[in-house]
Amino acid sequence: MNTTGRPIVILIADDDTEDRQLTSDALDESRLRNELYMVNDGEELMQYLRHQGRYEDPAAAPRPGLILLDLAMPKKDGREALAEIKNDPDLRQIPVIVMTTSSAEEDICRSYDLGASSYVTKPVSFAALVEVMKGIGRYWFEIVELPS
Amino acid sequence: MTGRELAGSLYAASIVDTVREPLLLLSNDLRVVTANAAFLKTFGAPAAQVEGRYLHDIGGGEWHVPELRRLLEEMLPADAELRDFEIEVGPGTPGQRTFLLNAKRLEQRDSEVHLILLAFEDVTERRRLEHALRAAMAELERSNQELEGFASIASHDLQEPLRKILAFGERLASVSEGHLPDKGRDYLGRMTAAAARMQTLINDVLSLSRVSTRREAWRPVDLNTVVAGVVSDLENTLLKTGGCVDIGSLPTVAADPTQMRQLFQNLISNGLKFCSGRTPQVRITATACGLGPADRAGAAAQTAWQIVVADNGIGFEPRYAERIFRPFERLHAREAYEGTGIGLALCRRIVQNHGGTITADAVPGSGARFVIHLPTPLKERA
Repeated sequence: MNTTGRPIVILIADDDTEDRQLTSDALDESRLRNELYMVNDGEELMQYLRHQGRYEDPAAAPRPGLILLDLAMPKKDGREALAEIKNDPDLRQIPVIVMTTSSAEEDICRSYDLGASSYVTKPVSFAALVEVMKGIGRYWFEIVELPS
Repeated sequence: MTGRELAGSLYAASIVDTVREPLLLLSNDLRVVTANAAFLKTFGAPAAQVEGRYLHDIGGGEWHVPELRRLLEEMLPADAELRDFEIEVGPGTPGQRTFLLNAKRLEQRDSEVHLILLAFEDVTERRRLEHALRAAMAELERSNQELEGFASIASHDLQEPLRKILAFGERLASVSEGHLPDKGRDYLGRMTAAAARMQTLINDVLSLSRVSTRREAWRPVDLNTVVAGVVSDLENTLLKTGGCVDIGSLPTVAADPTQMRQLFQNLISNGLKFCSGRTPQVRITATACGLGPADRAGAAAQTAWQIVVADNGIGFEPRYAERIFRPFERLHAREAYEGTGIGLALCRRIVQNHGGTITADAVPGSGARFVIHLPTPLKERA
């Protein structure tokens, strides 16, 4: 349960503009009260989390309570970023949900192996995406305790 | 020597000189006593340059192979034999050859002199071909990996725009609820359905390419278990159609288990799908066949399994019997039966991978039979 009452920050890492838009719309539609931040690739993701580059100001890059991570991204892909996050003592408590188009066995195993909390294959239909977001909201923000 | 001994000796000498394989007779101290005609011919050296010389001194020292010398020297007192010893003669020279060598100490009665017989088999060409084969297979493996990588990436990148068409098509339909005329909704529906079909097509092409690039090592596969698994997967279809699958006693074969599963999955689901008004029935039977020539014990050697998957469905015109195995070949309109037409192409490729054949025959309106021949033992196709 989110006891502080402040909306939990969700950080979406996805290189695809439209997918980011669809995810954001789906989150709206599922009526999750969250602040949404987006990054384009693995490099930006790490810069955001470490407050480097254009994310130096912590106010511009609040620490996320949850990361939705795409695997296939340019410059630094999701797998690399995931490994870095889970090896960083400062960042590894943040739950990472891998949200990607691939349903390949190797990707699933590898993601959990690297420390992902969950693996979700992006549904094709928008309605299904909304349901997924509702599910994520119910599980991660109502049932589960997140580290503060 | 006595007359008989002389005759015997001539007899032996004739044999030695007539055989096609190089032979050398060495003395105790590893000097060449006799080199047969085949040896002289192989090494292009006249007898004078070979006989009487130490083995390791012959020619340009090509026969100076320390390990061989050591083994021969060890053999002398031990009365031992040397078999299948592989040596490189003249390594690094244009005349480099590889030989398999047998050596044996010959007893000579009433004599202190012991002879060593060396028999050579030139395996240079064989080794060269083996090497070339290994190189070709490595290249094939590399090429397959590349193809697999390409196929994966291509399908992933091709799927992305389709996902967008489907996702935004759906959003369009929902935001324009009530505002879109019937024709508009119809067109939108057709567009998204087409995009969904393309997704399936891409997946099917990927499956077909993977039959060649993703192959597991063969192991014994009990086809009864495979078919039982497929039937279990198709449980819903069977319940819905009231159909049944009748399985005879099937053999255990050495095969790629995943591909065997795919093979029967496609054949059985086809049998259930292309049904006429009747309750669909699929029968699978296996018979040993291709009895080869009987061996010594009198048992005829089985050379193949014939496995038949037969149904009581709509069948097809016999003139289409080969066409149906082509990728994406469909005999019916899309609306009549779902599917992209990849199933039988997949089956054929799988059966070919296992060195076998698959053919089909049918009576239109009565049913179809798919006949698979799998050779035993299965010859793996590179």
